[in-house]
Amino acid sequence: MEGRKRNEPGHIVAPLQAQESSWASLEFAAQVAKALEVELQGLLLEDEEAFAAASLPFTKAISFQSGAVRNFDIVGLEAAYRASASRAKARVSTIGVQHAVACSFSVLNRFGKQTSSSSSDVLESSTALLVIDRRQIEQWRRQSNRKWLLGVAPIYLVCNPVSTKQTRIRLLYEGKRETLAAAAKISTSLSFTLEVLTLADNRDTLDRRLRQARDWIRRRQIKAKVSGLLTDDREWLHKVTNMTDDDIVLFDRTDLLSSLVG
Amino acid sequence: MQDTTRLEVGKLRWHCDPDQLGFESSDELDAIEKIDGTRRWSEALKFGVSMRRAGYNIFAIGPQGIGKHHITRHLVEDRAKAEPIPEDWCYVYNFSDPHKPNALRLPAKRGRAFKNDVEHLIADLKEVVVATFEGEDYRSRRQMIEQEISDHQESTMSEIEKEASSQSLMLLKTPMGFAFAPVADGEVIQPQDFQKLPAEEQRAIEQKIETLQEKLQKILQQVPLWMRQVQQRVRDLNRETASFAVTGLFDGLLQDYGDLPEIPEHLGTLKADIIANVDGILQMPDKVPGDDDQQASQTPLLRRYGVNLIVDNAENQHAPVIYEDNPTYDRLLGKVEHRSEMGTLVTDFHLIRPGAIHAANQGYLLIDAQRLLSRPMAYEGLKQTLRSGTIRIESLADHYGLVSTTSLEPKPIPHNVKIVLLGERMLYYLLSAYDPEFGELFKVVADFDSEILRDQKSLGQYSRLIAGLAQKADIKPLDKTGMARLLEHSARLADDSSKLTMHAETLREILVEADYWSDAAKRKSVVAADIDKAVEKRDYRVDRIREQTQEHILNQVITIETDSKSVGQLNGLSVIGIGDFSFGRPSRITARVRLGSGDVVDIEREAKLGGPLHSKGVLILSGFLGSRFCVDYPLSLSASLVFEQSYGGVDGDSASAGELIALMSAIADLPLRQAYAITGSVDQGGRVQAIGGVNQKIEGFFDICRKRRLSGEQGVLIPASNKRHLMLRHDVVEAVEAGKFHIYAIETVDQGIELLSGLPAGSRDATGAFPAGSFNAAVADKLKSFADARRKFGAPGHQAGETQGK
Repeated sequence: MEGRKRNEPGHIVAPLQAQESSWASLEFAAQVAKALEVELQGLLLEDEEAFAAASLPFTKAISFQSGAVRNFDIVGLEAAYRASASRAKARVSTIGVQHAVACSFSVLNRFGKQTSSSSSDVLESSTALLVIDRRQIEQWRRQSNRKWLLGVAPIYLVCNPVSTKQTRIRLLYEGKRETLAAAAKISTSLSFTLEVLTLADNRDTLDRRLRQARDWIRRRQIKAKVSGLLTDDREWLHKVTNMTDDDIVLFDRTDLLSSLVG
Repeated sequence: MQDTTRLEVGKLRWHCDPDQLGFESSDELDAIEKIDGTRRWSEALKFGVSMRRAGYNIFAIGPQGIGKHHITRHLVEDRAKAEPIPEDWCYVYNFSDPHKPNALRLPAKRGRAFKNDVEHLIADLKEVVVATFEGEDYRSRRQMIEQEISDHQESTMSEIEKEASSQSLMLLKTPMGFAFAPVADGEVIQPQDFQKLPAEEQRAIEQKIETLQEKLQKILQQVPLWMRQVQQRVRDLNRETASFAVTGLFDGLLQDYGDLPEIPEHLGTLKADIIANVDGILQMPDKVPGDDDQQASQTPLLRRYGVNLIVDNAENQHAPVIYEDNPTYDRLLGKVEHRSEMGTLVTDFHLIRPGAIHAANQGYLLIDAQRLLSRPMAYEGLKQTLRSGTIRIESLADHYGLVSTTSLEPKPIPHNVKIVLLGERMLYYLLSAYDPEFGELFKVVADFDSEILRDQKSLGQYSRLIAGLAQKADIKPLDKTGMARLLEHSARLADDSSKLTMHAETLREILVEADYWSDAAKRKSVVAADIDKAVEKRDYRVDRIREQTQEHILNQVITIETDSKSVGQLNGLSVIGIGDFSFGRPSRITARVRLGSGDVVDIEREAKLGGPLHSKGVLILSGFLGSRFCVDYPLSLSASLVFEQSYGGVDGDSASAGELIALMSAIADLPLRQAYAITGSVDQGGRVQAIGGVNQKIEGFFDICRKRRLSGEQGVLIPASNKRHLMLRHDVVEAVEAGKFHIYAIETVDQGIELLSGLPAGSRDATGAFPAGSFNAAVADKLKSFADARRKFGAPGHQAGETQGK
């Protein structure tokens, strides 16, 4: 981690929910952390709306496994989250050992406070790379209290960790070389192909960015396909969203992420 | 009389003339390892090994050290060379009853190939299966199945979510499960806001939530069913894919082993099991690098597909001949081992270990009988195997219920093994007497001679045998004098000058030690002096007790007279055995008599120092005295006999002739010459019979006499029937030759009496009386006087005091 350039990802954040489905994205995040030689940080998110619902006198919880109905209250929910946090923490630790990466774990509680973090506030850091499971985005989009997660990190990596066809990283490039470097490292380390889709709202900028990207890639002898797309018409977003589910998408424009998933 | 019974020098020892042997050195001889011939044991062994019927197992009997193991093995191996290589056997997993592994039979040499082929299949299995399951075809078909259910779930949940949304409700996924909550402006209503709502609206919300909960509940209750359906479809797909993947692996095996009756069936079940357990194969961890123990590192699933080859005849060229040196139950019949796994003992068919009987199947198994009988349950186990005709591997601990660990019951393997037990005669006789099954299972006895008759032919063969022993022991050759001396010693070991011992082990030891002394003397071959020295030193090493005993006699701690005359006393001779070494020792036998009712008291017996044979000998004396002297009047004496200064046990009847003469001397009150010692048993008619250890006995008395100075009068009386056993030491022979010592061979007690008393024994004349002045006449007179006295004691009115007064 020595000699890291400014704005390069300094740690990988893997947001976790109290569900088994989170483990796949955690596993993938560990691979990314290993590729970039940075720390992996697991972040368990407490759902504030769940607590609001548990405060209502008549709400019930229906078991995922059996469909059994039981009381749904704050005390029970807190206990369930504590249990989830314990499991998630153990899991993060295990995955860290398996992939030989430094790791930490923290909980973002319903009041928006981060607990038990071993480093600075992960989401306020300017060097976080947030690994998001594409399936989580769908949920977060529906739940307003998590939408904010989609706009706080400087770099996002959207993946579909359960897909067996994940073999390509697509970078939506808008001129930040640190993001380009991160994408190159990840693709090389995981033996994925790299495609750089350069975006600009005018031809001059697009050409300049294309040149920069190609030069950078050529100098480092990286195999990558570089293409450009003007964002001056209405069709560009449609073209971008046509990317397949199996692609890993890396980009640094949060508005673009919102647009893509919203 | 003395002239007829005194033995000439030439009768005292067989002398082997080196010049008559026909060679100068043993290395000129064509060495042999056994002496051929149509001897009983040889015929019996040949018959036993050829007879391939149940129960015709062999018991080769003979004394320890005569080389019966070697000879038997040699003969059996000769036979085995002409017999075919047996079949191979292996144990495999029993898929229908894992507790009872199956035994598979394969033609000779194909077992190892089969095991290797199956191991290759196992090694390739995971790779092939994984490759197939990672293929595009399988993955897309599986994804389709999973996608189908996922879509179904998604759409169902999506409908519920939409319905909730349409009713201003939100479906939340929490760690406690799903929950519905009312929303306002896209967010869950806070409790305080909810309380502000009109009661009717609150009830309506609650009602809506309740309805949705019921709906969701019904959907969730369906989920396990959907999952099961998916799992079943995935399983079906897996089976189909696995079948496709492994068929290629099995085709080759079926082609190679399809001609064998049991293998295709096993391969069929193996394939079916692999297909049924393909999930397990896919989930198996990769091999741990550096773990060389392939079998142990295999998962239980893969281990069960392997082959445990327990009989591998790949290296054999003919029927096996196995000698089991340590015939424990397990080593004979095999066992099921266990290994520790997470603190418990587990086993499987790979841990079945074959026994010697597996290795010897369709061949020969040689076992030392004494070792077999001394190993717990080994003999019983062997008999059970012979009775049943099958080898059943059962743990001894299971027999006794000593362990509760799960074990296996491997399927029994049929056998056709010829057992050859080797042991001493006593074992054979005991087993024959006490084990009713023994005779049925060991019908052939091969009785090894412990010596052979000495003639010109056997001397030639024996010399070649010694040459063979010398070669095998890697020692120098023997020159003709060394060979001649060893042949003489062999006759002495046989205790018979007309025979040669077959105790090859003792001969080998003497050869090795003679070689040592030859080296010490810097000779290039072993000569007579080396043999003499080897024998002398062997004796000397174990000679302490003999020396001590002789010292006690010479110091008169033990009284042995060698030059005077005494009444009722003479020198008897006994043999003391210490391990392999034995020596003769003179003992003073004394007899005392008095008036009595015909009892001859054996003091040794009364003191519980005499054995039954000795007592028998003493009882015979009464019979002799009665029949010779007291035909028409009662034997009216009480006599006591004792081995003076004997503190150990006495057995055998070899002193009975001496005891009789001592008793008669006491009766007749006539002295006996103590310069003589006598050995020999006697019958009721007064005939002197053969005894054992004649050489040692003579030498024992000779040593005492020589150390006291040979007077020329001393000598030993031996039974005439022991003449052929004489192989006396050279120093004894030389003393006899010089007239300093004498050996007399007597046939009757009377001959002994005359030698010992110097008086004629005397025979009854026509009137039935013994001649006056004869030894027997004195005995007869005294016995008559005893009878008369006894009659007087029995007369009416007779008082004890009167007799004493007279």
